Amino acid sequence: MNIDAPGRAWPSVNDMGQPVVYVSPFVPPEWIAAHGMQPRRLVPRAPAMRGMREGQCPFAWQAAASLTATPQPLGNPAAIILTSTCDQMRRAAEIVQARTPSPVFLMNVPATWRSDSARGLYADELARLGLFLQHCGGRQPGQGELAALMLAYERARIALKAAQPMLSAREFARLLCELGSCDAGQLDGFQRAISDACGQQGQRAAGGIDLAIVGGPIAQGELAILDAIELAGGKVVLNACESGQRCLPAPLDAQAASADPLAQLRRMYFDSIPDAFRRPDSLLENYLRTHLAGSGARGVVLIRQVWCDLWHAWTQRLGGLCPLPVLDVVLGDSPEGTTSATNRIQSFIEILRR
Amino acid sequence: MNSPHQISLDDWEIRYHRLKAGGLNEPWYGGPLSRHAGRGDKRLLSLRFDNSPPALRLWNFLLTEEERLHQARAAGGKIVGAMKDLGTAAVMAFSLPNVTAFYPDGAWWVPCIMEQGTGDLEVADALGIDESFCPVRAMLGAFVRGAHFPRPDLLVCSVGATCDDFSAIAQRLSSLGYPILWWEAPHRRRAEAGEAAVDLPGGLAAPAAQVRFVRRQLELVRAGLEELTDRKLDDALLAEGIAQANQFRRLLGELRRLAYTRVPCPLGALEMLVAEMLAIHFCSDRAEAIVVIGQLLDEVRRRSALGLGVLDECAVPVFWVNPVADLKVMNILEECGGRLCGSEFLFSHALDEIPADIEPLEALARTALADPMVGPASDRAERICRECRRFGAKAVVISRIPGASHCATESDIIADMVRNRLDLPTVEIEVPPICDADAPGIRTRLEALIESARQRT
Ligand code: SF4
Ligand code: SF4
Repeated sequence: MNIDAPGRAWPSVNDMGQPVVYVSPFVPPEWIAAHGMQPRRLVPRAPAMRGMREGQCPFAWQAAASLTATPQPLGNPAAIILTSTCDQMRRAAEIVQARTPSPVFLMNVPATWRSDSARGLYADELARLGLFLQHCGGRQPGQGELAALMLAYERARIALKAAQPMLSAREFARLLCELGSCDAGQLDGFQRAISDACGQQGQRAAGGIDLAIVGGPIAQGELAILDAIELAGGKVVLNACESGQRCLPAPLDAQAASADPLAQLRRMYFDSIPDAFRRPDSLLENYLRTHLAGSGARGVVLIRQVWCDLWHAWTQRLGGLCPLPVLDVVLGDSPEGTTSATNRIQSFIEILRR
Repeated sequence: MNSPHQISLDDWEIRYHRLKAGGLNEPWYGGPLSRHAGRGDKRLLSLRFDNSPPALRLWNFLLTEEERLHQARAAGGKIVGAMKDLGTAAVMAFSLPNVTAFYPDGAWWVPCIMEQGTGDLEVADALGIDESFCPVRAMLGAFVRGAHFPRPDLLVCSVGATCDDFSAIAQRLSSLGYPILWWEAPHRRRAEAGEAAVDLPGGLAAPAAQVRFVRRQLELVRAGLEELTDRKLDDALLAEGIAQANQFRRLLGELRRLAYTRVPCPLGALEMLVAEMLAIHFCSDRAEAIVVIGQLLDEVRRRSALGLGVLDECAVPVFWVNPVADLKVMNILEECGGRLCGSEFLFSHALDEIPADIEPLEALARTALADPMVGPASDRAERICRECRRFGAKAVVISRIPGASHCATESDIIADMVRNRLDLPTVEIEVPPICDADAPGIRTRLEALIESARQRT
């Protein structure tokens, strides 16, 4: 087990050879796999407290700590891909670059998205990433290979989305990470993993207080708060955190992909994934407005890492988007881990139940 | 009283009336400094100022910016609020006649100058932007309260490789109904092998493709300015705007050279901080900023020629990293036996001359990419090391900004490089907008730093 909280095993590097490790949902795993390499989506295990300075985002810090630890718990990455999606992660990349022998690629994901030049920059960065992967031992994708892979990933995503109502929020997060860590040959196995997970969760209780969770990334060790929601009688009907459906790419247009797969990747990821770092952030605002209203949720839990300005700035705005009560849960701000967050979630659900 | 000194606000009152009686000539915004304190700029009561007429003009210029902006509006001019890029967009806006640009970011200092008695921070708190953000959150309160500056006719903001604090706060502002023209400043990277690179101001370089990208982004800013003014912002206008900005930057460069190297120190740290701040947007009047800085330079030249200064000859040269939220700390440094001998206040690209021998928008794109905020902290640290050598620094202070998303990571990188390359003592302090409660601790750390620097020499 590669996890210190209950549940099934998360993707392990033991049999991954030399993975290409990445963190952000804006990095398409199919692009890595198309280079004949093993994508490995990193969700840090535990929130870091040791060595962290006031002002540092625990998630970004823990990602950097995992990538620079010796011995390297992630095997010996062939490459590491981090993104410029927030200041904390951009600066974490500099630390990782200085402290690890693995080659590090800092991908510029523009905050603006409405200009042709911003969209072009993302596409250029994908192309630059491709060359980088080739320098790191990958091969140039063959004719039609990327489009075929995109189709295979799309099928896996459709299966995952279909299974979501049968899965706990933790299981969904684990499977999402697993999908982001599949290479071409592992996608069939992934479909089986979904069936297994659904089988094991068959006894998932019906009813409960429907809740939406909104926010940024959650470390593995912090997923206990998702369990806490369900143990307290809540049910996550919308997971708009980084570990949820918000960060899935838009559906594939297979025909367009066979003509210009890179342009299609840009559309699916860059043009479509709503996030707090985007300017303007109307994609996120519209997503939340629509999905909160359509989810039937009775309350919203905002889950954010301490010192994350981008999600912190949403605490007041969420209330203006929907008439639901909002609970603001801050992770990584106390050495007691998620205990206080868990208690607050229980009280929140108790109040909603009444 | 005429020899260079640092004096209190009360002393300035007496001196002002003596100078006036002696025929002191002042621009429209002149007057005794005490009137600003009377209108709410209470921090002035705690500061010690240079006693020269050019310093008086500098302070009066700084503290009358709001009036200047209202005058510009009343005269039918357009007001552009440039945000975050600290220099480039303002140079573009000032290139158009009848346009005044300013950085609302300057509200950063309002909680200090007005000793937090404005309500700006309370408004920011109420909007969910609490003290875990950097002091720039006062800007949000200022907009919502309609205080400190008129509502701009156009707001432009650079995002991308910027701090999360500003990006989040500007977005919050936008969500409250203040439309913003966003433009992207990408993270500056090194050119890949075989990729064309371009030299940037400040001894930096970037891939030509990134410069082209920023240039296209600045085209968006240009289009926004043209739409606002219904006038073409052509290359000739931009070139003239760049020439004016460079005139200011040359004067400031010479002022820095003298003020940071001459013994005894001819101008104190506080006035140097203010003088450098003018580089960002000329305090809303480019022509007058050139006059103000020119007079200050004349005074420093005169003092240098006569061997006069405001500090003891044995004051230890200290290089300062990051702006201080409380101006008082600049005085404290000198009271502890230090003198400023260089600074990196997060806008070093606004001090470097803009290339004048290439197309104007290309030149501005290169300048924007030279922003220390958009590059890796190691680039910033390299420049700090170069400037420490150039100005003969004997110690380095890294002044942390409360809540800032960049400080926690960047400070270690800078401190490590300074120690490894220059073997200089460094100290890290955190300066809140009003540092009175923390002043004993700050003093202790600065005294220890200066003592350690003295022992090494
Ligand atoms: S939680 Fe916030 S600060 Fe941390 S990595 Fe994510 S976006 Fe950046
Ligand atoms: S002080 Fe730092 S965090 Fe604050 S606005 Fe300036 S760059 Fe951003």
